Amino acid sequence: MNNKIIKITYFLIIMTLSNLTQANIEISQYETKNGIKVLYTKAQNIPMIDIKITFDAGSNKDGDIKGLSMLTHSLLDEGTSKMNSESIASTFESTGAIFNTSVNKDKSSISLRSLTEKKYLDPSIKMFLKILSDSVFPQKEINLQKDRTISSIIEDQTDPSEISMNLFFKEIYGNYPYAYPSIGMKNTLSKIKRKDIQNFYRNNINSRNSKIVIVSSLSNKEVISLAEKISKSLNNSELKKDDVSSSPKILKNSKEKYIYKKFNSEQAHIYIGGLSIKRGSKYQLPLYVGNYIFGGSGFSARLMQELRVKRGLTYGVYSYIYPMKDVGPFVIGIETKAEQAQESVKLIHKMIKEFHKNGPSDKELKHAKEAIINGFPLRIDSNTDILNYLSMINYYNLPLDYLNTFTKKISKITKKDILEAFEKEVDVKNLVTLVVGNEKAKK
Amino acid sequence: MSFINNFNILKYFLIFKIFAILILSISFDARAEIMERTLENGLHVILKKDARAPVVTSHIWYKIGSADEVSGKTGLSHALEHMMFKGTKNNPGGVFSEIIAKLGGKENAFTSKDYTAYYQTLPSQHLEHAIKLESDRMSNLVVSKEDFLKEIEVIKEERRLRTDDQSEGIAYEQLYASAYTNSSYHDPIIGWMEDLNNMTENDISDWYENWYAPNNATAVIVGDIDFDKTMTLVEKYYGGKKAVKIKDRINRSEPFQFGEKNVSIEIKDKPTYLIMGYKVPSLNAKNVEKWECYALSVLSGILSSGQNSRLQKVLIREKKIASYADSGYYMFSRNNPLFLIDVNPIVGKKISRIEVELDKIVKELKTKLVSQKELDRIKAQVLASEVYQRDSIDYQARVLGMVKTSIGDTKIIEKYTESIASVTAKQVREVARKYLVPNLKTVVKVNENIQ
Repeated sequence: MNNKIIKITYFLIIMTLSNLTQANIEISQYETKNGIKVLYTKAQNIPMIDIKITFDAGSNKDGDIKGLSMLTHSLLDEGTSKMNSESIASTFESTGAIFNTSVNKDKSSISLRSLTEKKYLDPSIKMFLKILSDSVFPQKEINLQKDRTISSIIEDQTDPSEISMNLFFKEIYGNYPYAYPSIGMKNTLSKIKRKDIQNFYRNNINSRNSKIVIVSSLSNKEVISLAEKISKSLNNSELKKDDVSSSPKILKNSKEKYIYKKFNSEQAHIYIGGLSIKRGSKYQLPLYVGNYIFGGSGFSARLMQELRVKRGLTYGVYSYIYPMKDVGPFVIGIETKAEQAQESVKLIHKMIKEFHKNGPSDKELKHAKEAIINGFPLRIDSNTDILNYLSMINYYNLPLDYLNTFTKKISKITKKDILEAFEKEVDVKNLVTLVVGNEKAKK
Repeated sequence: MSFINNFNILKYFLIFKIFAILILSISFDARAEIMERTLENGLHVILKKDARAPVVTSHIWYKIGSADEVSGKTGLSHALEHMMFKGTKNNPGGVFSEIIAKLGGKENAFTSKDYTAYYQTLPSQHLEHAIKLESDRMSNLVVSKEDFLKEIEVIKEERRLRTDDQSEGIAYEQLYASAYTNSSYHDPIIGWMEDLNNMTENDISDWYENWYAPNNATAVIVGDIDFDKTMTLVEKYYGGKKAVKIKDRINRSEPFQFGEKNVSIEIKDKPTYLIMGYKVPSLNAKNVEKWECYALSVLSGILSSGQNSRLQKVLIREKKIASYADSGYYMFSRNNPLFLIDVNPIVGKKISRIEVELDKIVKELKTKLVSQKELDRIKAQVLASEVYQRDSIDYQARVLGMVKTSIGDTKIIEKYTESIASVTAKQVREVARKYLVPNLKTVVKVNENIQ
């Protein structure tokens, strides 16, 4: 046996400025016999367990069959070789367990929440493992799920917020996989065959590209035994190599673009932005703080102050910079009545260019750093939050003390860092601006 | 600052599906430590300890919502909620929000038909700041014309976003407006656009003077707290406030309905959709036995909770005519609510086929007893959600605030699981026979004649 058990226990202590508060999370690390990295922590007070397995299997793995990853994940609990969809659902429902899958552009996850009392936990875990090892994707369920998905895609095409978001991503990403919504498209979905789904399951719901996170009231021994069971249930075959040579590249926009699309709604939906950074970029934290001040912190943010509080132009305006495995986007979004669309666009352009040039004021920067650092306990105050943080650390191979050093790094960020990061990674000269709305929203 | 949630702008669509969440998950651990006391000025205080993290959530709930409004003045409670963020004499403009943000906290507010609530969640050692600021705006709000004129435009944008440009939003609003003839549940929480156009800053001030007082409020604080110290803080900041005479609430009782109401609306370029409601009792209803409410709640679970529920099984899986189907019943409302069912047909499928199947499902509930297996499923889910929801201090505070404000007695929360568990198949059939009938029913169909 080549038991490679690494067990490190790490004490995480988060101290707020006044030193009165400490949030302790003890993160333990384990590696299963077949090499899956597991992070877990004990949360004793509630008799429940959360398991989350993440896979390198987001919609960026769809290839030409857009929507394949999401469809495959949504069908995981629709049939095993011995059980049909109905009895799988019954098993979870009669124990109060919640089975869930999610897919985004980079990654996917399969999760289970259950009570830890044995009579509930045992049957729900057994079912969960069966789904991981033995999903069979009955044709009948594939047809049903395809029809429902196509129907919601058609419905999305009547929703201005969906239309505008999809158009915007298509515009900034061209033919790169990030350009397409994870749910897929009508014409690609209708072509998906059972074989495609089976192949995706085999190649991607695989122990070699997975990470496990568990937050529960169980003992370490029980968690490790469970992690081993999960790892054995997953397919362990050699991963298929991505064909990198033929895949499209991301191209940065080299001129300013304005796009208008007519849609019959009272409000115009507006997106302004472009490409920014990959996860792990040295500019990630300065951009986070800069964006927090510009449009990422609700009411304190400049955008909200100028457009909502001072001018009453909108209910909501925001910006975000979302680092992804490949280059993620920088996005500003707003909805406003059509007549005010152009006024809002002009104002936002002016504001982002001004911020790009001059950065935040000293007061703004101080305020933002205090808010982010002091607010830390709130980010990990529930099992749900802790699960998601551990999952992020595990998936992106961040150091176990990431949460701890995060606040330290934030406290050191200067105005110069923010100016440099925006200069390098937010191209305000070549912004894409998209307006979806009725005739009055047009330039 | 909204009628469900504010900062979460990306999730605004949740409003129409939110009733589904409330049915099965509204109780919690009876053993948990709770302390309740009413101050001399009438402020009710509920404290609950949950020391898993050094965090606390501090809420204040006012018993004032759109149910207290009258025709021509709809939307006042919600508009006042927006204006509550405009500052006081002591803390002008956005000082309140700025302090909370600096301390690492988050804050929000929401308005329903029954109540208006404000909260701050922050590291527990800063609780005093939250109580101090919140108590200040209970009595010192400044409502300026200048602020109002800007904020009312924000509210209109909110209405456009969530209702006027959303066909499901319009249908939901039309359902209540059609079902209720006299009950103030007739009017939307955000108000009719026409009323928003006529509203003035004086309307807001009057509304504030009438309803914002300690004897019309409940403070709920959940988290890593010490009961004695927290009670001392509450007394320090709220104790000096004077009780005011609260106006008699207008009793807009709902008259008899003469038959099923059918409303067909057309909204250009939008998909077909059906939403219907039956008038049913809340826990406050007079001359109604309480078990009826629990039986209605179980009935809703039988219809829509999980893949083996009847709506999902028939409409989505067997007949393949719907992409989404749901039901919802909320017993903790001040007045009698609607038992809701809503369905998104698969694009191209006719609404009339959905209606035929819904009729069959309802008929079966009245003639055949539901199975023990179905009852057990609901009970297992209620039990589990009782445990799961202890993961969120905010959710725990919301349940306490809602039940206290609308029903008056938080003890029913402790008995909730037990009350659901004691519902029998016969009781489910009885409430189906009594309430799922034409003269309590209203249906709104969107684009039923458009292919």
